[in-house]
Amino acid sequence: MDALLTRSQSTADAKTRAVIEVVAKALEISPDELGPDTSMDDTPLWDSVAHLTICLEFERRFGQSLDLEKIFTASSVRDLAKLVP
Amino acid sequence: MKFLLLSNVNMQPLSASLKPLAVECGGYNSLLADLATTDSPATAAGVSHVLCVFDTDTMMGGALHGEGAPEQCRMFLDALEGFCDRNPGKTVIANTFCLGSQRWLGFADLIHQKSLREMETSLNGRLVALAKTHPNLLVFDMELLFRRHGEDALISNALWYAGRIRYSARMFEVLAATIRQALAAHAQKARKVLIVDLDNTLWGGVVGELGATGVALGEDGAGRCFRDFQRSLKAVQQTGILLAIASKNELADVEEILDDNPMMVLRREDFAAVYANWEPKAENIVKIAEQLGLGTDSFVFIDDNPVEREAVRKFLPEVAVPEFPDRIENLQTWLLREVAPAYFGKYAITAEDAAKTEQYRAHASRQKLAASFDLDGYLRELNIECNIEVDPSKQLVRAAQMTQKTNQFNLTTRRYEVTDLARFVESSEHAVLMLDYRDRFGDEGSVALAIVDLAEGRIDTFLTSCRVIGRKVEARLLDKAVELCRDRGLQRVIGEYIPTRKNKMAATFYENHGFTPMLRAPDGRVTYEKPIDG
Repeated sequence: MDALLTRSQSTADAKTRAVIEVVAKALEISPDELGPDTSMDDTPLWDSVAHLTICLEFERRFGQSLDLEKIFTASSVRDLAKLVP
Repeated sequence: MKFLLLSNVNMQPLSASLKPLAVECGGYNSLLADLATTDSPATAAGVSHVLCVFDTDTMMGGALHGEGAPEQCRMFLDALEGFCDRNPGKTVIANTFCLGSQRWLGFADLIHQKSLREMETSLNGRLVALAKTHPNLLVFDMELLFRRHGEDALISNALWYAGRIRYSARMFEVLAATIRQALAAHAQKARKVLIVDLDNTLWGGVVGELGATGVALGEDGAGRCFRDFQRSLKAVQQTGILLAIASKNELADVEEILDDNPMMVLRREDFAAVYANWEPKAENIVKIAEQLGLGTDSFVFIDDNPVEREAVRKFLPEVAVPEFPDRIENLQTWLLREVAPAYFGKYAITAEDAAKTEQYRAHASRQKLAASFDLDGYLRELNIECNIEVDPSKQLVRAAQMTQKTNQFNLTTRRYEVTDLARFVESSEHAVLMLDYRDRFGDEGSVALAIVDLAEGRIDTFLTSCRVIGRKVEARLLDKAVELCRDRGLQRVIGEYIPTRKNKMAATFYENHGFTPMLRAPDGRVTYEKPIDG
């Protein structure tokens, strides 16, 4: 039970780290400046134009495109991490 | 080089995909305005390339659903033509018109008067016509990208409604790769030679074990994969690429299959060089480079054996060595979709390209003959035919070019323009003699030139291209010059040698042909004379 929980936890961590890399690359900043809670609201660089670049980078990295509704609603690292396949 | 990217949709992500090229984006939907106005960012002096990557569906406007004509598309073509005319120094790259697959007319589209297919075809007809008449306009075929990768993989409806981005992440990569290939093709950076392995590359199996007719090569089954592969290699060759063989085999086996296997598409004469032996391939590749007189950095090497590929990469890192397909059924598509566009892309293909192999083979065959015969025997073997034309009024450009470019076997190194040559040809005081050369290996065209001042009986200019030096053709040209002077009733011919840093090889020419030195000037000039016997 504990082992299962740990494994799912570490998968979630890996997805978050991957999303942080995606966002950092799209915003052209260091991943160190980002955390799981980073969102559009508290990151001035992450505006609506940059958000599209992030969505494209997400698509490139994970080979999965985001539908329109998710593009509009996923506005934080945490939201995006949930969408990683 | 500075690039400006113009579009009618949000094409910003393409500039990131094109890094490290310095690509600036025009304003949103500024394509038409920037091409049409005379003081737009596109006309700025620093901009060397203007990329016009546009979405056809959007540019069609209402016409996409049957409302009116595609006015914006026509305006774009007008603006593009004007821009290319006004800015001959800028390279313009544009995609062809390419509609999505949706058709409001459905099945009827093909024959309906408002047919989208027909509009697309006619717009592309005009675009291609522009490209043919404007050397600074480079067009790439957008439809091919969609055929290759599929519309669903390249179009993103979500990004379109989220922010006017038409394409998926995949499409931006595909577009960037295509634009890079177009630029390389336009800059004539194509490689020149494709070196092929034989066993399990040009046919299935090992010829040394199976025999010339025992290998897999034919119209059926696995043999068809190899025969089709050879067909596409032949097609690539026709675009001006030289084929050569580097194979670990007995030469006799290889020659037998090249000559005697009826299923071979490629024959001995299709290869500019054949190296079949047991030496390391890198060594053979270097020998091929020496024989062809080309650098190994213009070579591509294909071989099914990963060990051979790795060895060539290690010893000759400048040679391009693409990975080989896992499956033989993909050989043909691999060559034409991946290898050829990546290394042999050309934007314009000339008649000379198609004949290139023959030229290089002729060069190599002459070399071989020279190595195995004494000089006179060699010259007899060549079956040299020369034709000397007096006052060749249709070859003035070539004649002027020869006076401008010939340095070594050039007695006086006097440089003339086309207008000078025209004057000499028209005047009865001068004769221009041009010698055309051919031998059993091929036609070299015009290779030697003399200009004779018939009033003075003086040979003003006498030169021979380095390509034919050592074949004694210059004696024939000199005889003709002397003959013309004799026909004029002159008693003697004057020749001159004016030394330069490069023409030492011509210093003893007149003495070797019966002329007597009359005057030696301090600067090294020598004036010769030869009496003409009645």
